[in-house]
Amino acid sequence: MAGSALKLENLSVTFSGKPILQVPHLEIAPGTAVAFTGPSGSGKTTLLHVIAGILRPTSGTVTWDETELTKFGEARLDRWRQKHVGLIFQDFHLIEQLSPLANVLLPATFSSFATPQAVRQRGLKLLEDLGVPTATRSVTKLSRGERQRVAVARALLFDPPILLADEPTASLDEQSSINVTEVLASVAAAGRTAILVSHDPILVQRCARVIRLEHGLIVSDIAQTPSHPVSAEALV
Amino acid sequence: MNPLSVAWAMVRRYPATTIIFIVVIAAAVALGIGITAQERALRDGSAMASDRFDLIVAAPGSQMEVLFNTVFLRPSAVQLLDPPIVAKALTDPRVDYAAPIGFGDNVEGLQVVGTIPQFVNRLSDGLSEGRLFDKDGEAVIGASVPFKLGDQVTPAHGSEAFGAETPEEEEHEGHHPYKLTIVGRMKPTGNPWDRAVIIPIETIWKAHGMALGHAAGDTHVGPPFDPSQVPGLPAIVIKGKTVADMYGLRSEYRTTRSMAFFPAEVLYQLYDIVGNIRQVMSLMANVTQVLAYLAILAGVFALMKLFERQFAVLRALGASRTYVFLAVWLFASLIVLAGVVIGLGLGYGIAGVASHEIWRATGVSLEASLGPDELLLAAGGAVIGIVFATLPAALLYRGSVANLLR
Repeated sequence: MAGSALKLENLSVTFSGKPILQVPHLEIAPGTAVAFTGPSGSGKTTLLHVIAGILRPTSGTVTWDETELTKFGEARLDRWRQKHVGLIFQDFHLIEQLSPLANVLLPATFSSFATPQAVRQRGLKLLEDLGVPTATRSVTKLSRGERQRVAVARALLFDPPILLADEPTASLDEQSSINVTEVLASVAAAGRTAILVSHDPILVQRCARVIRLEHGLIVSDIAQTPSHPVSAEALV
Repeated sequence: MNPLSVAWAMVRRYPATTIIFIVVIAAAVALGIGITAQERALRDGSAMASDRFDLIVAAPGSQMEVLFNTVFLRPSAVQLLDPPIVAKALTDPRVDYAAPIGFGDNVEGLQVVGTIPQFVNRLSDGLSEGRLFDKDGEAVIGASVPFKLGDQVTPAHGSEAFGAETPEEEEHEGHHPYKLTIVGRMKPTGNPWDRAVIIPIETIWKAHGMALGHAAGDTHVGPPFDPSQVPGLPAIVIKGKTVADMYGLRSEYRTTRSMAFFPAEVLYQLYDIVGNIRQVMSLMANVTQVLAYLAILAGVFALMKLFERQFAVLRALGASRTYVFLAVWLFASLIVLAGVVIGLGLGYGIAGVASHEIWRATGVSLEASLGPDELLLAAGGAVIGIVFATLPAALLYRGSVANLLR
């Protein structure tokens, strides 16, 4: 994973001719936890989608490990995303009719008919490590915090080098939020590039960089340490 | 890739809607299958019911009416064949047998049919119990008649269709009351004769005050008949000694005073009419099926809109467009296949019930079965449905993943 840096150059996303995101240059070193903050509509989620390859920029490039992702066709981008990116959403987006394990193993069905035993074992281990009851038949039986941990396990199934999370604690109660923050912090600490969009100060404080966007522009990019945390205004 | 779990989750997400879709398709398929299977059963059943009635000779009139009278025992007033023609037919040297057929009475609603023992044997290939009648006043019953051997019954004049007559009416018409003793039971024949009481033709003639077919004092029943003693008859069933004889007899009795026909000739006309009706009904059933698919298609479109965000998530997680397409297609195809399979069974069941009802009403034994036509129809329906299922799958996913995730 060493040397796999994420670079965005001259990136612009417009909608109906109106620019909604402009990033002249942004580089994220491998293994870094970065938080994007800013008010609603500032372009945080758009940026996350561009990095994930879900949204193609109007212009500019996104490069991962010297490979220009913006040149990829859709099918190749799908495969790259499956292998390199773990995505976590605010509302978990689990399939309610499936068990926690089946939800975690879902990405494995994208490319193979039968889920390999090793992948299955990894899914089980991830759930156990994250403290999710694996015997449950449906994720609807789980608490919201547990569901988000299932979503985290799903994102980590193929051990992706990049973890993208969009407001992962926003719909959780305080205790669940703290638990999920710990999980994400430990995941990021394991050498992954973790990019989080969040308004949650507890989560943002665990990130090495805090980048604030306003009106589609990066207005601040601050490295923080436990001894020099980001000010509260950067978090909202 | 394996999108089965996603497709199955969709089924489980909206089970009631899925069941309604399946029921609609099953009903549409069953209609088509039922019509085709029933029409074939009718065709086979009626052909089987009449295959022992080799050549029918009757007075000029409607062949269909005579066929219904003679084979299907649906009584109606028909003109009688002139005695000289009857006499000639019964004594023709080219015939293997010539069976006079006479009606007019009933026992507890069951048709009483007069004929000769040889024809009973021909119809039933021997008896299941008892013996053939060999004198006046004896009767052989059809396989489904609820009497026992040794039972004595008294026929009433007339038939159910015309209304049985009172003893006063009978007497006024010169009908003489008579008793019958059941001496034998036929094997099942699959035709309405299974519900008839078959007696010597001489008993019918005697009860109706007609010539008795034999010289005075001759009490035997069946052939040979005395040509000078035979009365008029509604019909005679003839089996020629050779095929050439059969055609020769048919040709010879096609005159201004008589008609002769093979039951198959009339049945083909009937099949032609029934076939045309079946074609129209099948067309209607097929249109219904297509309409059902279109309705389901609209329903699946609406349902898929509810899943749109979920599909966007799958795409965001790395699923290809093909994966999502297959998930939707599998979901719709599962509905179609379940509907078609259930429809096939339902159609078979409908044809079975209809066959039973027809048997109950007419005595014609029909066997509904699923043949290549029905399987082809169901397979065709499944293919159309599965092709239709690609439409929501192909058209659904055109929105931006990013927009759907917001």
